[in-house]
Amino acid sequence: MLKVTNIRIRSFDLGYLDIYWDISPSFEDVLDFEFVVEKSDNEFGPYFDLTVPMINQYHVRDTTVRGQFNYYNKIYYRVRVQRRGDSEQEVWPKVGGAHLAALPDLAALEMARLNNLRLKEFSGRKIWIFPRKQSGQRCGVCWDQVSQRRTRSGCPTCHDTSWVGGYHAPVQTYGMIISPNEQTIHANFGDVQNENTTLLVGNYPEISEGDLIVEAENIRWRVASALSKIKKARALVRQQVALHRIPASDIEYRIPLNLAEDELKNLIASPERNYTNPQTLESAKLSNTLDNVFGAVPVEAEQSLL
Amino acid sequence: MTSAVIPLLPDPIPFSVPEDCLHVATRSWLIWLQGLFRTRPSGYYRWDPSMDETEIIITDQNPDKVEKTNIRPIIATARGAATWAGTSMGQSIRHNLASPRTTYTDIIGTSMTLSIIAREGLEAQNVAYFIFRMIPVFKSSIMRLGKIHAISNNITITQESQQGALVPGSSSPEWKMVQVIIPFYIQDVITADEKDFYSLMRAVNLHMGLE
Repeated sequence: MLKVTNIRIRSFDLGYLDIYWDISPSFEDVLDFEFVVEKSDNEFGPYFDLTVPMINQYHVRDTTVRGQFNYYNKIYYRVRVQRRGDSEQEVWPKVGGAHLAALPDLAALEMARLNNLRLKEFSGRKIWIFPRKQSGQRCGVCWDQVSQRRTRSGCPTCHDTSWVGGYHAPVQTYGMIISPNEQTIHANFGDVQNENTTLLVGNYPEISEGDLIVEAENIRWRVASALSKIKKARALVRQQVALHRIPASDIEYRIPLNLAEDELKNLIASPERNYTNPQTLESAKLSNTLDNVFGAVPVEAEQSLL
Repeated sequence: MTSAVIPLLPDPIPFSVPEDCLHVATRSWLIWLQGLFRTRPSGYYRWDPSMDETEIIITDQNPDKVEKTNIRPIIATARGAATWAGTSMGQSIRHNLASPRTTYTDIIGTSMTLSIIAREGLEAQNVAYFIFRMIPVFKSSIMRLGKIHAISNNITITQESQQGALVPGSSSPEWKMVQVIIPFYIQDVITADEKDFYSLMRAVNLHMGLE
């Protein structure tokens, strides 16, 4: 199977995006393979075919781009390689997609790695990010096409986003949510509990306004309008975003987070090492946490070392 | 019709202070609204006295520690300023120049503002318009219950509140408000024929050092 590398998105025109890719050196006959470029408005899909199968081509110009007038919309591409006359196929990149962005340099990569490590092993907690849909099928239940507005709330079809489904599949990551002040607004129409705070998160996944954040205690947050993205040479290193706590009566609380039973039962949101004294060397938990930091050594490999 | 207002201390003299007409009117608006939404089918903002069952909150302004917060839609009543209209000379009627018998009466002009809060602006407007449309239908019933002299035809629906104006922080509208403003009039009457009325007047005047 051919291996696609170095997917680049380039353009100096708002009307199109050019997608380039290379292949790793191979002894396979390239004419036995087809390339199909897939496109999505979300890094995690769903992707749909942008092109018909192509043979021996390494460049496509996407003239169907939308949302380029929006500063923050992104269009993701990936390349599917399939053997002709066969069902064998592979998608590149294997995780996520490529978009018009700078490649992180070595310093940026190291800064991002250290920040991610700090969040995963010290200050962060497990969170789930549901990227909000920005396109697709409009909700037929609550969306009024004439006024371009939602007409009601609590819509189970779009979860009050106006796009069917509302959110993409969640991404688990580590982030630090700064504990907010408990605040009750004594409004004329009644008491409103309101919490706004800040989330510190690494460089992946890239967060957008309106995304849904779920904590291990089922506290749900909506990403507010102010997002601070710290970059090095235009490459994302870490993110700091404002959050607004979602009222518990809202439809967002009915979006399921489907963890496996074992995963749910044994869920520890904070780093395990924070619950174990480091001097208790015999602790099985400590060994687990050391594995988390330095990488687990497979049992077979460990035995071969002895 | 009994008012929910109970004097802090029992009135020591037989002449009872007239009931709070403004509060009676406010309660009549609330009772009407609760009845109006109680008859709605489930899923269409059906009101229920139980906070666990209700699909819409209907209260007067600043409800005291409602068990559940952050629930929408909400309809909250708020009475506007009340002003004597001065529709008679000295706000009183002398029945006979030879007799001290007097009726003190005047019209009070006031308004009721219904604040409708929902997550979506159009949702708030939808509820507001339903109320707006139903007021002419139930006008006579509301007047009868609230001892209201007249409900003006100049009922207003306001524009939607700005995003983030009520509760700041969210990237989606979340809390939007549309108000219905209803001017109405109450006639308040005290007749000097009421028992011990003159005793009250005399006692107060004497306290003030007047004959």
